[in-house]
Amino acid sequence: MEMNLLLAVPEFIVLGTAFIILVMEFFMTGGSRKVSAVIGIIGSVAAAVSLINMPVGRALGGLYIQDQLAIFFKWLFLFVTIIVLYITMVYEHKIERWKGEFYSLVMFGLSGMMFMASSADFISFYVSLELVAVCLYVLAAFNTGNRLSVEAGLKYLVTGALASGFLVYGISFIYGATGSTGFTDIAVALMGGDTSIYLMIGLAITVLGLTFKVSSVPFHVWSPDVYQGSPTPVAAFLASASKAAGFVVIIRIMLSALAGVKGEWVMLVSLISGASLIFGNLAAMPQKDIKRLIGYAGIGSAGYLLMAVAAASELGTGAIMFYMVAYSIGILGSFLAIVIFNNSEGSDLIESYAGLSRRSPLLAISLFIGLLSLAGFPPLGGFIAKFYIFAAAVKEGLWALAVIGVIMAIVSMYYFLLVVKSMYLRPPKNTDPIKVDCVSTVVLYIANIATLALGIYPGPLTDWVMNIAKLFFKSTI
Amino acid sequence: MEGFPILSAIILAPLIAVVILLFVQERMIALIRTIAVVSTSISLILSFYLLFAYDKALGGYQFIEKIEWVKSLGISYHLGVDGISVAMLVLTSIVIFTGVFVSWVGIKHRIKEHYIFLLLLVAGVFGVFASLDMLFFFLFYELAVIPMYPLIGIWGSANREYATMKLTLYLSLGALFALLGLLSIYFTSGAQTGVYTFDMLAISQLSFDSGYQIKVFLPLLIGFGVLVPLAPFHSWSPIGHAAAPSAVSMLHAGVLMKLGAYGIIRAMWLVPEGAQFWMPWVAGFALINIFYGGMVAMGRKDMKFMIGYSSSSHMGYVLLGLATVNYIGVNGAVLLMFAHGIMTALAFSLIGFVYDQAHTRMMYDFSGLAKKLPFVAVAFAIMAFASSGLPGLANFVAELMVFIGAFKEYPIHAIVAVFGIIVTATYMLRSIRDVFFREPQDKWDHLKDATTFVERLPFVILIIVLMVVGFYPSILVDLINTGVVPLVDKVNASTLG
Repeated sequence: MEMNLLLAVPEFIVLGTAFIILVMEFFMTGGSRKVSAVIGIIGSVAAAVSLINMPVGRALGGLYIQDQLAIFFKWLFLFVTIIVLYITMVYEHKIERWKGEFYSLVMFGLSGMMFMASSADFISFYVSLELVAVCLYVLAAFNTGNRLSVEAGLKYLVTGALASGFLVYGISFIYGATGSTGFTDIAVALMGGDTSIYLMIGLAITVLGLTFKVSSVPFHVWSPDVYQGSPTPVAAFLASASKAAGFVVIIRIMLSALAGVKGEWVMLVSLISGASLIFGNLAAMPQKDIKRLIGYAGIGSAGYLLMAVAAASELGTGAIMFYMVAYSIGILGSFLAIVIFNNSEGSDLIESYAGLSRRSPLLAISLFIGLLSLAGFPPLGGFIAKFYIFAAAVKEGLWALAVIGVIMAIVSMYYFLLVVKSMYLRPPKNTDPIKVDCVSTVVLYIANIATLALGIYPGPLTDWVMNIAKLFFKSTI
Repeated sequence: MEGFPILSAIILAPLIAVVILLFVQERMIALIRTIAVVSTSISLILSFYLLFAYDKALGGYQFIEKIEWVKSLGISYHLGVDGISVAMLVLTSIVIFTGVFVSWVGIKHRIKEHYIFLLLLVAGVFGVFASLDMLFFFLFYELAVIPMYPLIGIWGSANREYATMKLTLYLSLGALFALLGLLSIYFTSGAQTGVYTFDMLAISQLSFDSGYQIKVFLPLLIGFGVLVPLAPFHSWSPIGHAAAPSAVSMLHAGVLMKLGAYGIIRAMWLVPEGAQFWMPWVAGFALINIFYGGMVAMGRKDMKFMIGYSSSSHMGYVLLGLATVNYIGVNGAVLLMFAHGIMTALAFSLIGFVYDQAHTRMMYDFSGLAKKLPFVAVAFAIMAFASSGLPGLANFVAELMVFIGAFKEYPIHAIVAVFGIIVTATYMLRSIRDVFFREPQDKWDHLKDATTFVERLPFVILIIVLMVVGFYPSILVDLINTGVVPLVDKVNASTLG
């Protein structure tokens, strides 16, 4: 039982930052808490730096694993959090009370996600999952004065609690069938291809429980309401980092612990993927609120990611990593633009974006690039991501899913183009320019250039993620 | 010009112009137009250089450039042209060069953005015709589709928002279907050789199991067929033509639709047995295209809709030519792609010229325009003659070759298809009569003929090309033939049937 606490230094840095922000609340009264955000950003950067040359290995008596996969996702979470903290600073005046706690909850949630990426055991997985979930329940309901926000928090809590119940129930069955909660031990126990009824029940229930975190069918209903009602930075956090955290554990559970019984769950995951693709994209079409639209689209993109899970291959794993990077950048750029627009106009309705291209070309082009990247238009990062996923699916012969995916990609182009249409083709109601401050301008430029760069020259990132996927599969088999 | 990356230069000239335009101020209109003209003339000169520098005796793929792009996936930036692609590059460069002048006259607001999108589009088209890598082929293709959305949406005419959405979605759907087919070829070839690559040259050396070829040709055929447009996937096309501004209609009908046929040619090259299996079907659908498009064109009052449906009809001949899979038929199909590209570009530029002044395109609104617009009337008549396949103009040679080729393989189809010419002649001649002859009306007294250099230049260039190719087709046919012969041999060498 080695503790090896040094491996978990990044998590401790983040936790420490969260506590510092909390403690600072004792000494601060009223006014803005942007300084807390800056401390959070510094803490995240420090944690990211500490991950450079981080040795790989196990810690906390085998509950915690630090490998390339974990490090990759932790960098992604840290990057996302830094931007989310920045978006929160822009959004801050809308938070009525407990501004400091808001930032510290984001940091606590981040530490939970980092633990999730490193979980090597159902126990540590579940505990870190709940750490993230509790933070997000509170964050979603943070604007207590706003009925929609409270509704969002409540919905998120109720669905989340139900899904957690599913998970624990399923895990207990898997434990019963294999005699272990450690991912490696389970993988060893399932080498022979155990197909007992208890394992099957546990498998099915666990898969269903996992869908909550990534907002896919059947635990998807919270997604649009929460995206719409919760504070916008929280929606951005949920859409990018939280979803990525869900997928890193899905990779760990499905592709390593339960890889031996792959034949049993591929069909189930394919069904969930297809249903999410169809439901999310079709339901997004009539939406009037841009955050709600992205919420439904998020269900659809969970469908794409699950398609890569169903492919259950190195290529699929690499595809998930690439997709999460491209998707997060697109989401963060779009949500920052949405926050700035809302600060100026007080509306999230798509029709209120009419003529944005003339009022603020920067916001319009950022939303254009961000949303079309989510839709998978080439030559943007989102296209390469989808391309990767189609490649993984075609390689494994998942033709039905691939065709559904193609048709739904067109549907998603349709509803994202509706936003583009409003921004570019419709005349503005008033022509006052919308001011964008200079830091936001820089952040938006970075997001746009990153999305373009991922689409035009994806080589370095694809090589990196494929390498990680290869290492991961080598370690599991 | 040994070692000079001439194909990259053709693609990059418009892209560099886009980057420069981003830094030019909106009000410096003369400079914006000059940049557009200069960049497209560079592409024009270089593609004409290709026309003469391509070594016909040697054949095959020439001017090859290759740079590794994503090594782990076997993607490379790989360009190269055969006789077919050179002809298409020349077509594209002529159409965009004239299109820039048509926009000069026709586009009055948001000029800078218009040229940015137009040049992006054409860079994509050049890229498709020059790519030898399947993924870049697809990427360039999408680069050509996306700018259509704002181009039609912002500068288009009636019903533009509906039309542009429909067009973008249809074209993307087709593209993604084709992508699935290409991906499948990628993995199958990779599993066969152990080397995963998107390189079309390498893949064309392999031979696949014939059952597989038949299966994989279908998504490619449907995917590229959407662009051709192959009936029943054509409905985006006429409405898109009708809503688009003139220069975009020119590119759309003149070049973009050819991308679909070009894609099918590439698919024939990659999976010849699949092509052999499906070609009789293509011949059947080609007839539907010819007659359905022609009949609907007859019933149309809006001139742009008429030309739009007529384009579907003409593309039917192209498909019929491809389906013959013999030298003369395929040669004719490619030459018709060229001739029809020039001819429709002329048609849309003329209609646009009249529409910009009269704000209507309904044939019943007009009469006797020949008195006021003699130059436009003559040009329109030449276009109509070319479209109906009159000797002396490029289309005649091409259609004749298609028919000769078709008689060998599908005599019944060919006999039926010949009557399509009568349909074309009917609506074309009728439109001349209705619009340009009969009594002139007072309300059209304010219309002005094309008099200035900029106004006349595009029409003159296009007419000259039509005539030169009509009288001296071997300037292109010899070139196209170098690409067609190996392709046809490859398809016919396959053992099926």
